[in-house]
Amino acid sequence: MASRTSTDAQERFEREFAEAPVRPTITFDSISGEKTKGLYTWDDADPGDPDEKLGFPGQFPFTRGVHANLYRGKLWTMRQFAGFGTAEDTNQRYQFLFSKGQRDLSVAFDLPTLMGLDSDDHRSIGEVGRLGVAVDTVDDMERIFQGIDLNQVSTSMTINAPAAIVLAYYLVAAERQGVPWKNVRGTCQNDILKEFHAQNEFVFPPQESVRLVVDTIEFCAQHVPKFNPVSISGYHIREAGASAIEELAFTLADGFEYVEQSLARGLAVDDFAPRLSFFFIAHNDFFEEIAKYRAARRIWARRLRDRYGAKNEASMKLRFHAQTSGAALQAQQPQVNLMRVAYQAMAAVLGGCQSLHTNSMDETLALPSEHAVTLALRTQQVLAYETGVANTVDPLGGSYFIEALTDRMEQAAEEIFEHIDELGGVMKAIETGYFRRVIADSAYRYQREVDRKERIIVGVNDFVDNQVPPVDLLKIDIETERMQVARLKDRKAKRDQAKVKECLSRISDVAKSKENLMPTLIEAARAQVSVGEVVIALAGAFGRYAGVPGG
Amino acid sequence: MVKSRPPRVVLSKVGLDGHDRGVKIVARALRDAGMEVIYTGLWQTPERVIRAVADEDADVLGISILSGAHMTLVPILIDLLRQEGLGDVLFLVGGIIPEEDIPKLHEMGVSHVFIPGVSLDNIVTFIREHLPART
Amino acid sequence: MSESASPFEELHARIKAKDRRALARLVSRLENGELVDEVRSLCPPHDSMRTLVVGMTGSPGAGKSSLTAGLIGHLRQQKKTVAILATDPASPFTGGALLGERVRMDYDPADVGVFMRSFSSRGATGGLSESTADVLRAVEAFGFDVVLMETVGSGQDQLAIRDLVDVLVLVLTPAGGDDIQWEKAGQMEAADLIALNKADLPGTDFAIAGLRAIFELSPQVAPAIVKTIATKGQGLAELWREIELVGGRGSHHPRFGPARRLLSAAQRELRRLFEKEESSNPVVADLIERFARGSQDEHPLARDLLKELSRVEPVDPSTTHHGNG
Repeated sequence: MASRTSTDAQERFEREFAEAPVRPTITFDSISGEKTKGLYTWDDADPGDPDEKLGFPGQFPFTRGVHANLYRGKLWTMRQFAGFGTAEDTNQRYQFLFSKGQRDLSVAFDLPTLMGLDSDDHRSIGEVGRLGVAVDTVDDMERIFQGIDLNQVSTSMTINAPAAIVLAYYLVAAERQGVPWKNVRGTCQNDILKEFHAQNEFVFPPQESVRLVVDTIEFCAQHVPKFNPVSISGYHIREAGASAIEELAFTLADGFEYVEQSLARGLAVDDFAPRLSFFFIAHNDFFEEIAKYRAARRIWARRLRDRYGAKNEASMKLRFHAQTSGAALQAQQPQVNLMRVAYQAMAAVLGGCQSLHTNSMDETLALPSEHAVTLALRTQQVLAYETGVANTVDPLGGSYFIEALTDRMEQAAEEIFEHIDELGGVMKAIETGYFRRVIADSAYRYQREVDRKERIIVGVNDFVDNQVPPVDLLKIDIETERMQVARLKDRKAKRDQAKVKECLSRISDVAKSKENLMPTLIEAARAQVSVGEVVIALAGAFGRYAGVPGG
Repeated sequence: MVKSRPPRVVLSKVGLDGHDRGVKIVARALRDAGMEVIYTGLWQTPERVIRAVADEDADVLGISILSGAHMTLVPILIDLLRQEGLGDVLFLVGGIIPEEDIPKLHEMGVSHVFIPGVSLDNIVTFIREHLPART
Repeated sequence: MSESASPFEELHARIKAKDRRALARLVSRLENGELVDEVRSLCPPHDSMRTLVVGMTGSPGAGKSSLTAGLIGHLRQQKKTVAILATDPASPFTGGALLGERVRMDYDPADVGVFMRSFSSRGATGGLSESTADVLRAVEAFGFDVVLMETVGSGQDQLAIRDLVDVLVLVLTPAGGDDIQWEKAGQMEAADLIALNKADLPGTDFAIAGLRAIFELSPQVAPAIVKTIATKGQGLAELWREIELVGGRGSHHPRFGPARRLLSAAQRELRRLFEKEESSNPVVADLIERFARGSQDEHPLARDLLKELSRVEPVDPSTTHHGNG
């Protein structure tokens, strides 16, 4: 294509650019280590066929967004992740968030629940209710939503290895409220692949773990049509140290794997793909993040249409939740985190997210206090109502830099997909430790740059200030654990034991068969079988996974 | 011929939290500084950690805790180290540790607490300067 | 312990008394090149011991660590004590190493019948550390029933481990063409047994047929192929049965038999002698210098070096009596 820049002006610019002094020792590479240029022009942003590459918002390939009028129709969902202590403590926090204007829920579970352990397991000591709410049986789930109409709210649940069990609890809790499953809205994270790459909350071996995910995809497609059974997550991959490109590529590769395994199950792509949702991070490098979201939409749409034969546009639309980066928060001068979070949140909105969680300033120190949580929510409200960024769809579309960066992200991701194919696919790449090695390499590179002060982190390796007013932190009552354990023991003593035994043996049988496990898990939920008991039964059939190499 | 022995360091995650970014970065930094790093992985019980320190004849034990369970787990680790006659092992703790807990951990017998933001070189230097003398 | 006891006698007594800390210390000292002569003279050689030494090699991701972990459980059920020696490569630049094999070894930490030790190759060629043979002797002297030695096998590693073990198990999987890589590397024939892990994956029978075809073309006796699923603990009993069979009748590879082992021991002896004399013996120094100048062919110089080394430390006939007691 002919350059539109006049040669004289360009030559002068290049000369002046080259001769101008440059700040020493600082890297101009993106936070992911990608080279950036000092200026982008028309020459960098090859528009190709604008219909194929950009299109209009709400139209293939959805680079510019999944809805025609995006936030003019409906603002993104401001969804603050919360949960701690007992079900009652968490219920109270939800009531508080409702009073501040939040409309939908996001449940954080404690570590024992995430790892499929009961509160009375010896490995749970010190962790019950600490980083999220403790859920042992369906009764806990019911109490979390006491007084909250499950017809009205959509609930996001951050849980993975035991996701199928917890989803069964949620459906039974809805049932107890008299809410039909066809009305139940929400999302289960349920993305086990990224646990093997990054977050390490896996229990069963990879293939069996994915089978459970496909069971939930199939079950929801048939019975809970408004529920997103999986939120395919790059967030944790990035938090573990991956670059933006790696986050993008690994997340989409995981998405493709779920699609392929669901197709292998015999599902039709348009029956389940519209309910696959995504979860990306909003990190510090503003433009890189925006380009990442745009590239993700384009790659997904193309792959779903061209490789998996999707006909329904809803299957091709990549909808995503975003959360600001936890690892980017600093313990030093915690109030400074407010500004970091605000910029990250703006990137997510300019990138067209469907829902957003903004971190609280004190989260590197403890669970967020009510004060900090309120400020985090207010950050989103200011963004939505005061800055004007919600008025125009994809306002950065057409920027030389953003379009060049979007192309670059897409191309780099495609190279990674090819490499994963060469390794034998996602499952094989997990077992050879590929993902973990790449992520650890990137994390180490970044830390070295910070150590060498090639990257400045305000308050950490420069602008250090020792006179910082303290922030008030939330303390978890140590009584919580004792109470939860006592309650679980009581519940276990008072159930129909024969029924429990029958459920567990049925779970074990179904796990060994090819039958969908969800109906059996729902039956077990009704019979008050605990998370830990179900996990033990499943592990008997599936085996347990001790870990993958590539540290 | 006696060769110089690289310091042997056991690095471990105790408790249930799976956040291993930090401990893996430290592992690489120590390796690149010429140390032999025995990484035990996640979800270690205190008993398993101490077993690794003993069998691996480690000079240094570093544990990483980000879940906030340090005040429960560290005292157990310290007791076990002493019971096993491993009191001379350099014991380091890293992770999200509130300021007010740091002196308490030192009092229990932790040699040093590294909180987020510490440079890798600081960790390497600290270990080199405080390695226990072994015969 | 008496005042006059040497450090080694003291350690040796503690090891005989099954003091695990003493074993851990002794292993460290051997790694540092200390107490080597003492161990070679006081700890009996392998052939006089009842310990079964099993090597586990295979590509990363094949599941050899999970299989090793599974075997630990199986052996403990049979009340056999077991030591695991796992070697990972050292960084050639810094000498440091990241040793991660413990990650998958899930055994009861209170069980004194298990001893696990991670090694860095410390720059030695062959994937095993130079001290491995001596460490193995010390571990055998402690009285373990079984020693499982794990290395990432590739290139020369396989052969280095071959000389130290009674039974060599190669771990493969149906996917990914591991077998072809191993065959290309000419390593397949060194194995006594093949564990085809992840045998629930599609293509398992195809992989077995492929392996059999490879061995049909080979003049040697085909090794047994055992299907395993390490993550579910399946096939472990059968694998162990086959290991014991090979252990009982001896490896079917004559080239890895006693002659080869003796040569391997001689090479270790030679290296030890050389390191001792390298900086102090003027004849050795002169040979090195002549070689460095490049004025002479290396082989006559090497023969002179051998002569000089055997002159300074003549073979002591008494050493052959040690260890049979």
